[in-house]
Amino acid sequence: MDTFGLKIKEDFVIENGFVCVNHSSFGFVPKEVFSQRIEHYTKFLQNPDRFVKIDYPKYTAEIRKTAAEFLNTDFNQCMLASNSAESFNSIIRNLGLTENDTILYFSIAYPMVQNTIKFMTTNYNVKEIKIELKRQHLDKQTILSLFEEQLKTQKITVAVFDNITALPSLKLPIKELILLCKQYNTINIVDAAHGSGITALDIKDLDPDFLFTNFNKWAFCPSGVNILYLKEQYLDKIHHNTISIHYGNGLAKEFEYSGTKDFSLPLSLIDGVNFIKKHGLNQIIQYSVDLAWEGANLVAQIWQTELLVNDKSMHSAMVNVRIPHEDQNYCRECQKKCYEKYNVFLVVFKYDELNWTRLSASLYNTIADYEYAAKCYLKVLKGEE
Amino acid sequence: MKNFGKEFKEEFVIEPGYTCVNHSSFGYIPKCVFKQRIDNYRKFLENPDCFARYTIPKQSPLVRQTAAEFLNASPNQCFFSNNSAESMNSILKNLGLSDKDTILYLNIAYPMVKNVIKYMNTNFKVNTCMVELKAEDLKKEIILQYIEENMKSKKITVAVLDNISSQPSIKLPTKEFIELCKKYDVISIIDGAHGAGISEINLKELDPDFFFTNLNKWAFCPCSVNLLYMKEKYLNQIHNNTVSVFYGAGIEKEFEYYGTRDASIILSVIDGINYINSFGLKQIIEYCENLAWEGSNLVAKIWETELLAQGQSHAFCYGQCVGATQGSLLHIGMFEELL
Repeated sequence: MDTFGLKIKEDFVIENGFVCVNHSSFGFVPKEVFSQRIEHYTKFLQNPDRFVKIDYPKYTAEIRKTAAEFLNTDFNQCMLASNSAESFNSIIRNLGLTENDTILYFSIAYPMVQNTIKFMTTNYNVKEIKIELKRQHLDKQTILSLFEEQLKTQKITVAVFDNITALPSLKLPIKELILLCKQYNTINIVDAAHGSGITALDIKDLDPDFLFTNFNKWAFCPSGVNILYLKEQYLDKIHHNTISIHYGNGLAKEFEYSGTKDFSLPLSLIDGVNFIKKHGLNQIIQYSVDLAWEGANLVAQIWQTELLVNDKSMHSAMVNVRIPHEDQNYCRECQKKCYEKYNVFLVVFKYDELNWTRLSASLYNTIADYEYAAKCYLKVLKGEE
Repeated sequence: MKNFGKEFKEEFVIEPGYTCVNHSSFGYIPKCVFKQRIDNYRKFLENPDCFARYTIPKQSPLVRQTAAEFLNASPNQCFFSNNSAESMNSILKNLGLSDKDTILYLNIAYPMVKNVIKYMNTNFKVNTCMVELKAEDLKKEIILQYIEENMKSKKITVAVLDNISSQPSIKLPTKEFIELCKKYDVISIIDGAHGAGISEINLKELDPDFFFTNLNKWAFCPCSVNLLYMKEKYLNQIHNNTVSVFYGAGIEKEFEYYGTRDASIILSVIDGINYINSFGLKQIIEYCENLAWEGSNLVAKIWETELLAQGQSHAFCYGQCVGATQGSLLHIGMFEELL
């Protein structure tokens, strides 16, 4: 872990001079993963027929096995997708939901998830129940009790919840949520877009019906790699959301090829996982989580504001701090100015009437990054830049 | 200026020693496009937040404009997807088709297209009408005749036709087809997967309801980028097949972002089109078509067999499985078996 911080920053593909405090919207990759990526990509472009027809089927088996081992599950139940939108669309639109069904989700679910649910209600008259989570509800017990109340009093067909929410960012008690779903015979879908590489996901232990996770956010893979896990009983029911040449040939084939794309990209999953193994998942998690907490507290101190939630156990390596300004548009303008002037980009979002930033930490961050981010943004907010 | 052929091969990203006679399943790119691609990609990876938020919104109107101009269409009717499957799924699943509707297509349509139609039939009970073409039917007049017969005798809602079919590969009479569709009040979808860069496509003149084309097959863009075009009246009806954060915010936004991916590949569209324009589209088409024709006739001679279809129905593709000699040059596009 002494290698983390400034020293390892040189090993990452980060724009010169850019101070990164938002690791995980897209993710940043180590130079070694990038150079392997370019190698794979060149090989693909040089002879795509051979790559796709001969090599790729072998590669996909290896990639899925690597992912399955990393997530502690069976490779037959792991599908290669490009992103969470593809995975979630594929699940929810193939469950055969009708006006007799109800989908349960939280108000802090990711917009893509909420929109796909809206698509189901609009097009198939599926019912939906949204559990409103305001600031005062953001603790484990309240979340679980609000969730159980719905399962108890309504007939919920399927429930979706994040492993770690995006905005605001909090760890949800997924183990307990899954158990509740089993108790009430509700299909559960875990949106673990934020998951691989920042939580020790153990699918055998968790035993969800469905789980999807990005490998670019925290598992050092370039954008565009996602794994969809599903229980065996769904293998014959779910289809890839994009119908293509392998429609009906089995889910694995449907996900392996759903249209032409850069077939070399998924290979980076193996490289990203190798990078994690080299440094140790637990060490990476500990460093990132501790630094995000420390960094966020420093920002709150500099801004004289506070964290959204004061419980470290409810956080991964992303922590939310209140921005000392009420005007959301102004906060966004300052976000752009701050990037242009000080080369640091802060996430800005509105939640429960207030404006917040979400700070994240990865291996290449140090506490100095958060001090810098806080001071620069404050200068811009005050018009002192 | 170099001549097409052996000298040109060095300009391309092709595996050393490999003889390519199947250019267009995925496409091959010039080294200059590749170099720019890696540059753009690196910029994206170095600072993805700012690349996606600031760089792409600035550049993407120019990319759309360049692609639209290349196909003589309005940029506001052109959208980028990853591939033809995404485009076709987005169109067909959003036309509001039901058991009162019928989709017409040819037996030589691409398997993805047939599967999407099968999906519509299975899930929404949409009726289907497949026009069977045998080897002897692969002539423009016969194809049009069969299509018109079906449009006359049945109520067809929507019809799909390739610009250039895949297997077997022939050029299809898209202009006449679209006119037939208008005559019988049928929605026309042109699968132009093989199109941009190997046909002179003039969408204003062709005037289909929908058209989609890959930019990686023949337009020297890396694999894979697809352009989806539609008439204005559909802009409020069609949704991206992948529902994501911009669902309902307008089709433009729905196709601009629909899930995390490599935001930089779009920029290569301009590089590919510029590459074509530097030589002239007509010159490229002429070279490729003539060579594919000459090459296939040579293969048929060596094998003592024959071409599938004689005459003008070929573009650059011939329905034969063959390797070419060491002299194989810019590219001959051929299709063998599917993936």
